[in-house]
Amino acid sequence: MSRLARAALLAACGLAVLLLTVLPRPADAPLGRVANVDGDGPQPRFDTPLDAAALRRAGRLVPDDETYLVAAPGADPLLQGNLKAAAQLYLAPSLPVQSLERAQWVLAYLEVEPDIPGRRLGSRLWLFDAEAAR
Amino acid sequence: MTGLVLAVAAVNAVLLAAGYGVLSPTLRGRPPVEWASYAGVALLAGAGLVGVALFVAAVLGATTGPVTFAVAAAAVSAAGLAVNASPRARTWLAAPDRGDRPRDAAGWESAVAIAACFGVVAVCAFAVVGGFRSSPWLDDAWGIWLPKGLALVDHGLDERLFAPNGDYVFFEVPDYPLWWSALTGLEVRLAGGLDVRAMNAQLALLTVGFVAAAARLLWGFVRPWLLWTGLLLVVASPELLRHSQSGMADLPLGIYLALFVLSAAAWLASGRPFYLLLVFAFGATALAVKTEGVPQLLLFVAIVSAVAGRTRAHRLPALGGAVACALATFAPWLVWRVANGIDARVPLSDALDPGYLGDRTSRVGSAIEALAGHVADPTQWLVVVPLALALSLAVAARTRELAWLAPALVVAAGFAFWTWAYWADRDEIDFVLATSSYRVVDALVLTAGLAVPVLAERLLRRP
Repeated sequence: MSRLARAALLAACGLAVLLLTVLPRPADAPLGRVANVDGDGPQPRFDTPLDAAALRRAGRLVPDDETYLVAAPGADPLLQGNLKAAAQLYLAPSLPVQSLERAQWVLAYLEVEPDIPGRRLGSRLWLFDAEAAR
Repeated sequence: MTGLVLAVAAVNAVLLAAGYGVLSPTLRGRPPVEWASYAGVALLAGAGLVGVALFVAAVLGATTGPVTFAVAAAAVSAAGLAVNASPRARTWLAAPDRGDRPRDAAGWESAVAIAACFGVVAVCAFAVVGGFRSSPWLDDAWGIWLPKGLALVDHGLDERLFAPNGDYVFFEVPDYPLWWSALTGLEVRLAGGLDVRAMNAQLALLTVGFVAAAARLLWGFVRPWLLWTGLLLVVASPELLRHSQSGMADLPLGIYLALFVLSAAAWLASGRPFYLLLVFAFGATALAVKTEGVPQLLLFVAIVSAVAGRTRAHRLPALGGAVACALATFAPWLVWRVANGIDARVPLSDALDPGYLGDRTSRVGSAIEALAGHVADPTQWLVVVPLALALSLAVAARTRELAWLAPALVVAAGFAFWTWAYWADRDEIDFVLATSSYRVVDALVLTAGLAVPVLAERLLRRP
């Protein structure tokens, strides 16, 4: 292949790649899937709606060397699992415990207003001192 | 985003440097361009062995923060540089020279090679951009792997979190190794602010490294237009890009197992000790990624040895030695598991018990259907696996050499392994197939993908 032909082929390929990135196409087309790179935020893609900003606040409030309990009374298993994992991410290095007796804090997902004093972190997320919760 | 890019770039720069330290005895005296061409191999070797060192350090009681990471990287590099100091070792481990590829490529072959190469580079670029801009879609990534990684950075391998107990909330699947957790936990911590996109960014870089490593290792042995079209077939598979944005550990496992098989086959075919070094590096890493890395690695190396070793029996002891060295790096984790009472999810005694298996034979058909559907669906992995199987049979029939059946047998064995795994698994079959079967096939597909250009090259050569 001559140098001119090779240069022309390189230019054509480069133009094709460039066009792939700038031309609009259906998002679900095969080439669209290759080139379509919508941006996500830094937070996890939870399976249920969880307030990442509220979780970050919890992480800042719970001291690194203290323990916490995650509670989501009446919530479905998917939300409970997501909340547990989210707490392990955002409250690290604080340690999650299985019982209220061992906890110094309680991170709770509540559908209704609690009748004990606590700090509202965001949508349905509350942080309580474990002493108050006992 | 800035913190994310800087953290991931910095970590991978260190991994790349460590990888080049490992490769230094193999590349000494080579021109800079050749050193650069091994970047993919270096990145994967560095990421693999530094990650293994981090994992072992955690088992020995260290946290996996930046200091331990730096020490691990330095240790891995130092090991390579120490070997580099020996002229005899350098000669023994020297990377292969260019193979005897055809000198005169037709114009159309050059055109196809250039276009395919461009396609590969374009998809890799999209993968990297997508990796840095996407959050993992698989909940296991942020629900299990990353929390473990953050705990390793903060607390090390703390029994309160990593072993079953009644007081603290311990992590699920405690039997899983921690290479992926250690690497991603470190990067997320360094990026600051809990940016989980670091997982996909690292996954994308490993994927690109895989493509580059495959191209480098096959260069000179496969004519360029076959090599680049073969790699394009793999990278253009929709599932590869989708998996690279999942945060999953299955894709790194598939990458390292595929390269392990390639390296093992290359050692048996060529007798170059350079490939034994890669067998060790890639094999040790595969073992440290997921629990199923162990049985798959042993199965694949057994098959490759059985079919290719018929005429290369004198090379089998060395291959066994490299695999044994890789297994030795996994031993500390096994000891820790035994000491902390962590069993496999399905005891081997059950998985081999005819009575236990006989009560659940209805699972077999579902497993076969699901796995076959994933590997043969052209909207997922294009025609990678069917093409590899067809080429393997065609080359074996044409050459009447059993060794060329190795790719087909590896794929078949992997398929059989996963069928058996689902047969023995305790979870509800439809649930477990829906949530995992699409990704456990990564090792089979990537191994098949590396075999396609090699098989095509052999088929096109004059007998």
